[in-house]
Amino acid sequence: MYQYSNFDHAFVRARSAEFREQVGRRLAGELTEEEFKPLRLMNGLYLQLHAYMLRVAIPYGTLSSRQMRKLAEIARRWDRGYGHFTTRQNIQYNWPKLQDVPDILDSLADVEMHAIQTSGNCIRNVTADQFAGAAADEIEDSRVWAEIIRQWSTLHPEFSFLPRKFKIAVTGAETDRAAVKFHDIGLRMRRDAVGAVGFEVIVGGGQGRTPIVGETIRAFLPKEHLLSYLEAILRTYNLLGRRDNLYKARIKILLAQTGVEAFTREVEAEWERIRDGALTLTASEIGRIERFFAAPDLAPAVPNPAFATAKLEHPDFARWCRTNLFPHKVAGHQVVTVSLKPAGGIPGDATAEQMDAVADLADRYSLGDIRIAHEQNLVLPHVREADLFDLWTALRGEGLAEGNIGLITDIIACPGLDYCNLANARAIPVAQALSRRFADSDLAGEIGPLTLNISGCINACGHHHVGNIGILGVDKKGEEFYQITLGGSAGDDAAIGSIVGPAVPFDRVTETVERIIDTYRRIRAGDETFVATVRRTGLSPFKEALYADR
Amino acid sequence: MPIVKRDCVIEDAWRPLQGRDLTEICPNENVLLTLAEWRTQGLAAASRFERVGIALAPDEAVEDIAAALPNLELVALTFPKFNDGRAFSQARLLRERFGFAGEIRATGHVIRDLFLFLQRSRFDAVAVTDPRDLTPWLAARRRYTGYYQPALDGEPAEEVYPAEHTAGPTAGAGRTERVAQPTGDSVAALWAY
Repeated sequence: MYQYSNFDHAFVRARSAEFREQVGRRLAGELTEEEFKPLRLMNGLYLQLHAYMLRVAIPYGTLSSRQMRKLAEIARRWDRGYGHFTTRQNIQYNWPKLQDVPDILDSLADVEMHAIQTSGNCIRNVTADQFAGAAADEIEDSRVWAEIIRQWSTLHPEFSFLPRKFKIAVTGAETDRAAVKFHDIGLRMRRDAVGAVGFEVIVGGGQGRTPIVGETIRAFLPKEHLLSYLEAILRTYNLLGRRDNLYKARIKILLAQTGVEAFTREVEAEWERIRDGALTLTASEIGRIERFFAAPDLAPAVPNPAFATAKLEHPDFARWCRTNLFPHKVAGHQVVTVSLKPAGGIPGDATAEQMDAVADLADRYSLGDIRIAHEQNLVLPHVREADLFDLWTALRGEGLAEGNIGLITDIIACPGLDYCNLANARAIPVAQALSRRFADSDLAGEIGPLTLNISGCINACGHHHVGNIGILGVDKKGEEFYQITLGGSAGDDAAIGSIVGPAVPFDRVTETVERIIDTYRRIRAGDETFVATVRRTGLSPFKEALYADR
Repeated sequence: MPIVKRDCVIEDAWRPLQGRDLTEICPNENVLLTLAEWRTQGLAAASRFERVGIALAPDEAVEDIAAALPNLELVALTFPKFNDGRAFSQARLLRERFGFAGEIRATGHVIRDLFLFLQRSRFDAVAVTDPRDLTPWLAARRRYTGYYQPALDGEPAEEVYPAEHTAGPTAGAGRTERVAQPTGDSVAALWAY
């Protein structure tokens, strides 16, 4: 993974020192909360319902075991013994004290981490495929490009005060696991006719109150021009994006108002003027970053007989293998997803002990490499098949062996009204109730692949628009209600879910989802997935099941 | 309002035209025109006064004053709110695309936390409410020893900027060599990102 140079170290230290001064001014009363706000936000520090919340960047979701242990230490020492992994591959601490935050940032700097640009109207932490560098279906490792973008965007002189926040996602795989069509810019590695690798550039996707699937504005961009092209997009947006209305300030609104063609012309014209300037990436510079992400030296292994035997002898292990593994590039290895979605748990939460345990297991079984999935799970990307049973056994001891990746209980949920001061309704208890209801793994397995996403407000941090089942918390005269959407998808078949009918109160959500699932099981054709059924039948059978008797 | 410019706090010598009759203004006054005023009286003003500037609003295009730039000593760019960063792109276009070498001044709701970004976008001057803001202005560029991306920050103290304003590789490397020195990393590595 990327290793800080002396320059990176000095930069992050300087940033931390600057924030220590600002916190000092705030604590001494020299800064009002209003003046302090933009400064703390630029360092990932929010003021939530009950306390400050610190959002720490995990660039493109990649962590070393050493960094994971540091996250555990921070949780233990300065928070309440746990942290929350987010849909943007970051971690949030919910209970830090303001006076401790400079020490936390210094502590993060010790392991090459920071909280820069995890908030504010700037280019946010870049996200990527959580299986990058390991998945068998990969064209190239997207982390190389995410790191290049991270560096270029850090304290960018021109793009640190944009109309609104700006999110970039990169995937280098054939299958989109980074939801690139739902970002301000999505970059998808492609091969052109002669086999050269470049980027498809997708702009203007997003969720929030105006969910939009991004549009491709360039089918193929040669790699060396990535940064100049990004500058052309950002400059166009910075100058023309709306600033009069918070809710119409994202690039997706600019794109919708100017039209894709006119917007593309603006970008291309600006790019033509700057394309061969200082931002052109040389082969040696690309190579310098690529070396940090060199493929690990894994020896291909033949199928392991003990692995097959263990699956036969331990049905729980076999079930976990069916859901939590993904094919690795190197034969005899697997990419392992460690579920943070136990029955009745809080999606994405991990205790300090669990973080330490995963760090130890990463050292033992995955070359010390850990990833954060935007679905709020952890990933051990390089595990030998021969080690899988031992790994699973160890995970079980830590309460981390849930075999539910991609199933109905692999729920994405935002912190909701339990923590967040934007929320209209709680998300966590809804997730907890649903994961308990469908905890029977045979049932969940029989239902099959299904994404269920919950947001506590229209800002959609819980990605409800793109859940096969989406649940959105709304406030109706002081009471929590939940609007249900069906048919959304974040991946290659990107779609925004459709509202199935009137919102239901908090205590009827589980029952409503049950009815939806019962309906699906009744009407599905063969081994059709849930989302395929919804697309084939439309909403009518579900509407009928939900509202006919009400 | 005082101006911080080139490491000094000075009095603002520029006065907006604001509907005054050109012929009743002393020719050695520094006159600042809006874009609308420039369009109607720009040439007359440029021939009468030794120094003319334009105050460009955030929603006005830099392209619209491109023809005027050779006549201008100053372009004032405005921050209606501190977090409205359009002026950063305007400054960049002025320097990079149009090669403007005169003064670019930040006005409006400019807080000290913008100083670093202003310097790196090659604003030369900033209108401040408090003369004590000189200290944070100077401190801003000492905060970091280097940056991840090429910018337009020459040494603000220097009178002469590089003649070449397009950020070609040589210009980029030259500009960041100063900040790269302490790290021992390749210069190219720093400016290329």
